[in-house]
Amino acid sequence: MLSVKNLHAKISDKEILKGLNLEVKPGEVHAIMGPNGAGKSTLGNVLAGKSDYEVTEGSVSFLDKDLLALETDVRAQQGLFLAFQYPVEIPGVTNIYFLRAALNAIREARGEEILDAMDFIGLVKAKLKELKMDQKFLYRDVNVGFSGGEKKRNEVLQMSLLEPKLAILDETDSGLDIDALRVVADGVNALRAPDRSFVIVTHYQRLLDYIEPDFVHVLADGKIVKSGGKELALELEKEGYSWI
Amino acid sequence: MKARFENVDDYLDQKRPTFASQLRKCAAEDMRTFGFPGLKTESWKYTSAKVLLRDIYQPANDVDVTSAMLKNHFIADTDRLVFINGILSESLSDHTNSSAIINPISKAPQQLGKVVSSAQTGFVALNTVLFEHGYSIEISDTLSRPLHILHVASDVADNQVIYNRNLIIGHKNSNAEIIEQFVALDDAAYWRNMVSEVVLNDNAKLTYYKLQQEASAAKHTHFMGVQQLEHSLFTSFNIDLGGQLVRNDLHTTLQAVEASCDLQGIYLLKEKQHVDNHTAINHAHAITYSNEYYKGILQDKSRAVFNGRVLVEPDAQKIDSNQKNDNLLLSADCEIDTKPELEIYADDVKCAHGATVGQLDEAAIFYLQARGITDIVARKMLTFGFAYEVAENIKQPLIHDVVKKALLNWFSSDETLQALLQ
Repeated sequence: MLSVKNLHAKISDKEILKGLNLEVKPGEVHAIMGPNGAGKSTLGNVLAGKSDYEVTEGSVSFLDKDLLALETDVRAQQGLFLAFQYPVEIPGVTNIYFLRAALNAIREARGEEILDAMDFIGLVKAKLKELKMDQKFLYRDVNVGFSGGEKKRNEVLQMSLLEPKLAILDETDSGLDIDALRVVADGVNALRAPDRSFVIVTHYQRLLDYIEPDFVHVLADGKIVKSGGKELALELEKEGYSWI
Repeated sequence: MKARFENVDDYLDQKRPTFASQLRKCAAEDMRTFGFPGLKTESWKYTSAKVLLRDIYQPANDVDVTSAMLKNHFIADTDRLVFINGILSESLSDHTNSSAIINPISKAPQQLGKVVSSAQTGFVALNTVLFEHGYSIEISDTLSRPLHILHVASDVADNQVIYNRNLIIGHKNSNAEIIEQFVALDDAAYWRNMVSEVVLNDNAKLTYYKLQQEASAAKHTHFMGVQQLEHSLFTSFNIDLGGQLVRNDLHTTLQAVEASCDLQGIYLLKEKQHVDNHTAINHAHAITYSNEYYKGILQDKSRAVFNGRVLVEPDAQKIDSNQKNDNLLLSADCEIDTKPELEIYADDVKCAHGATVGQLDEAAIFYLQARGITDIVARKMLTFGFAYEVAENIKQPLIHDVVKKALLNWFSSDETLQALLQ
């Protein structure tokens, strides 16, 4: 699914990732934990193709393609999804138009028929119900005036509509209360499938109580320094990151 | 000082209607004294009045327009007042069920000149000297549905002018929504020179939507003055999509406690259009509020001007004023001159202002791309969204739809966008 080898990346001359390796197989859930400033968000942004970051060394293959050679939109069309830590507010763009444009862009790339407004509304309403979201969400501007929890739910809604092959969740748990956390986790768990993988980037173990990972990695100073099973997350929660 | 143009006298020689003769006499004096604005007139620094003064304009003719020709412009579930080349058409209008009292302006001459003085500009003076048509609307209660005032230009020649003079009076506790729309059935370089006076008495509310879709060669000058009394609320949406040369002056005076205004605007320009919005808000009394948000998108070789004047008079303490003007420039050849103009003579006030001139938000483009949307479509969505942000503040659903369609129509050559927003 995803193979990251010796990845080095910098932003305005500051090296953040310093030789990161990660192998994700279909159906696996990987948690990446680590202290602030370790490069957790950078990893998500580099994989999604944010142009502020420059990859200086290493390679990333995604579904046997050279991911780094693809534009951001093509990566998404191939099945990569990044749930943003800070979803962007877009005044004047109504959520429903955005969601439909995204889904149709991806359906088109998959060679599927694009959905008209009527077909789409039926689909999205069912998803809203699963995520306990009000239909009003559809007619508000993308993320504008959304609470922290609403923004994260909107991310999960997009993920659930776009049905990616690999979803990277960048600190999706930050700023969520326990109820919102549960809804988000349920949304993710509902999407777990043998051919779909997740990389869950988080600072705290909390989210992993709800989404059980197959592997836990510790990211520190731009590298994976320790890997283990889900019990590693509990250890980290108890001992902090200093013992690593 | 204001420059004088020789043709002032040419206009003054034209035949004047007989009503409001005293007002016209004073206006003629003002015209002689002040002339038309020239390049040295500060408020006309970025907009040359010369093009308006090249010809001596003759009044436009009455022409026959059938309701079938206007079908696409009518708005369902509104009361309607239709002017063809500035002349009221009784047969095309339909407002029998409206509780507003609607009359030709010739019936209300004694009310005119109180809010807008002919000393304001030569164009107001010129309108005052020569206007014949227009409306007077008085509102005493809550209008059950919006009033649509449709101005149609049809078969009007290049050197013809349409002068309209209008009056809106919101009596105590009244509440009205008025959409004033300007359309052309064919293209011509006519000039519309309009003056509107609005009085909002205690607790009166008026939401005024102006949808300007003049012919692409047309000139449009509109001076609107508003006088606001206690607890009155004036909300305006000024949407400029048409015209070759457009100059809007929107002046409001917040004259009594808790009077407030909310002025919003959108201007979308292409080719060589020139659109100038001059607003002036006078906080003449303590505890008054104003909010202002204008947004513009410019492309090709167009040019826009935004000038937001806010005056806070010496005793106008505890006022709150906000002003924002954001512009999106889509070509290297367009130009925006944006200028806040704050004059504050009281010390316990809150006045904020900001103007931006820029391109699309790169973080938003990345976010859309990360959802599979191509760069080009992302940019289109964001461009439309930039303008639509103001339109979505229109809460009246009928008018919201009309404005949204008008905006989409402006982007009509763009099939991608049409498909996205269907």
